[in-house]
Amino acid sequence: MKAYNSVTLFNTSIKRKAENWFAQKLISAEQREAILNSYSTYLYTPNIFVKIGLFLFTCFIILAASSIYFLMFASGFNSSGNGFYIFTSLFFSCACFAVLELLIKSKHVYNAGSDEALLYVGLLSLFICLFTIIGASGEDNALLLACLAMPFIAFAVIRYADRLITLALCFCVYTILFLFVLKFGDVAKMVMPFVLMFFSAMVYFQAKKIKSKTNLYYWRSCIGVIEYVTLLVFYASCNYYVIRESSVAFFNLQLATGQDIPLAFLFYILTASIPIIYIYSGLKQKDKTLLWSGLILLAASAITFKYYFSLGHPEISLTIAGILLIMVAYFAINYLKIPKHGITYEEEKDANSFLRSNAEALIILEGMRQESPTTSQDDFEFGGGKSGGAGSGGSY
Amino acid sequence: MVELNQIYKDRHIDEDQFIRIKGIEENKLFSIHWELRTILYLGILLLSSGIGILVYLNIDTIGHQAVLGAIAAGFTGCFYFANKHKLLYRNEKITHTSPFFDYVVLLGFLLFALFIGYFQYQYSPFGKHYGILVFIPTLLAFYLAYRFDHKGVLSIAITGLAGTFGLSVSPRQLIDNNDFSNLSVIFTALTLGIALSVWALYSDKKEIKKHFSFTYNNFAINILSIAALAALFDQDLKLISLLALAAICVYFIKYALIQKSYLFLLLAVLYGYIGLTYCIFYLLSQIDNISEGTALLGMLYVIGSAIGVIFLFLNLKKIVKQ
Repeated sequence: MKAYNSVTLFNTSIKRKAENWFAQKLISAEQREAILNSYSTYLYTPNIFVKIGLFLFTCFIILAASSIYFLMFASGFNSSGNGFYIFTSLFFSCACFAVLELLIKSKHVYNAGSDEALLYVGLLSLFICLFTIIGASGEDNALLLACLAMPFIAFAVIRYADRLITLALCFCVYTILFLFVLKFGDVAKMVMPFVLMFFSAMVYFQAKKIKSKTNLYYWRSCIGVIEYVTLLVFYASCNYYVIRESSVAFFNLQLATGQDIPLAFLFYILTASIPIIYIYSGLKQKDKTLLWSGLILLAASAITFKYYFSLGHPEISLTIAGILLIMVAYFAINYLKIPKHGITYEEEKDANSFLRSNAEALIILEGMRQESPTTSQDDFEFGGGKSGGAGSGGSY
Repeated sequence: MVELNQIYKDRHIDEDQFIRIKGIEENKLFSIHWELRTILYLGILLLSSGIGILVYLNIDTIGHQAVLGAIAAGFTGCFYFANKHKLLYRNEKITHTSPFFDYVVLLGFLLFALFIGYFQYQYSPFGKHYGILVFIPTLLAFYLAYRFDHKGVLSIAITGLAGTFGLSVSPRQLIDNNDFSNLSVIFTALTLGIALSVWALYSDKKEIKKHFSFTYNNFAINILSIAALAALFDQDLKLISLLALAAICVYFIKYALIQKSYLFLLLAVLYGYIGLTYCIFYLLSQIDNISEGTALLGMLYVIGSAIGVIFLFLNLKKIVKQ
């Protein structure tokens, strides 16, 4: 079932931990040596930049190969109608998966860029094939398409344990759920948010429960993705803005001025409280997934309330929000100078801080670009002028 | 946890160690360093844009001198704080104890740059000498970057240095804002890029702020390669530009392998590949105008070369060892 050797994956993790413990002087040099020697790892997972390169060049190959295919069989375009497309996409999908399996078997790649590129293109072609068979759009066809695609995506998640494919699976499942509930007509309007919330909560707690099981180690990162998605959907399905706009879009809700959606009060409370509950429980349970979801959703809630209760002075809101954030960060950093409740401001040492600190410098440069006169271009003698003569990608 | 259980089960550690490591792992502190830093940075961004709009809207009632005075007071305060909390200068990396130090230095510099810009806009003391206008903050930025060990300000300083010569080199503007069909712009870019990488090499050798060389080289490789590619695409110096590009790529691939910095490897390979691919298709289009045959040849070239690059990446470790 699993495309990659899960024992080796687990061994990689053991080795990483052993290095960490050695760095903290919890195990001796001989023990580290013994551990590194006795767990075999032969999977190839390169550095992130090499991975990007492998991904890009694999895509180039697929692109060039498909160009050759279309050059040779160009006549098939017009003459044979849909059959040609269905055959072609199916053929490409099979070819991608065949090469993928071969690559994993012979080169032992794992999360190496090439395998991901092949997996994504393979699934995408399969999806195009299904889409061509089912044809025109519409709610029923979308439901049918999602139902047909789901087994393939689920199989890919189980076999390759890829995070992006897990995201696609979540999207697929939620699409099916949404379109299915939509079939109930008037009842759907009332129950939709609660069905989505209930489903998300169920899946979230289940995922969280099974996350640390040893025999599910292979899918650990996939379960992490599911946690994020369910947290976000749980919030989105009771966010006031989402409810109001989707009621208008999907349920033909007509709102006169001054009129509000049913249960508006409840949704206001949920919009405001869920991010805070996420952040609180994230800190309490030491769970980064909850914490980051909460932080991002807090911003979403702030924007939601701003959208409906604007005072017409964005500059004052910006200033106040800025002062609030700075104050929160300032007091939190000062408060946590000595760790409290098991939380610290101190940076984790095993994290890849080199990449982060350099990325931060670039972000500063981008963020401050418009505010510093040093880079304003219009004043200079040469430069300026948007000719775009370089045309960097022109050769593809 | 599961990892620990495994190595205990396989008898690599004894029971005392097992209990000790288990206790440490279970009571590990939860670090919210990056979360708080992000919040702080977002807050500064929102506050500065908010105040910027406020000032812009109310300039009639506030008056220019008051605004200039406030900005001056702001950066004086920041630099006073930085000066008070500074550590002794050393060539190695320095980490300041106050978590706000970096932000205060950055804020001080930005306010200073804003002050100069505002002053020029209102009273134009430098007349049409915009070069000086950019050069003064750039000098200050280099000083601050080295004195207070600040990579963010260093990036701004390099951008300013390029700006003094009429180039814009911040990541998104490098291609959009420069007129590379002008030969003198290309030469300026090449000179600047070479100067940056030579300085990085020199400071690596002399161990002057070695951790800055990533920033220098990152600017250098992008400026150099894009200038060389632009020359290749737009100028009639195809052969020279190709050779220049090849030299740039070889230099940075070597640098990447020595430093084990794979970003430079990726960039060098990508830029080199773009150049080579352009040349192949250029030659093919010279043989005869795009027909099925040449298109097929071109595609075969892409497949072959891409397989070659992938092979190079996959066997990188073996190549590095030799």
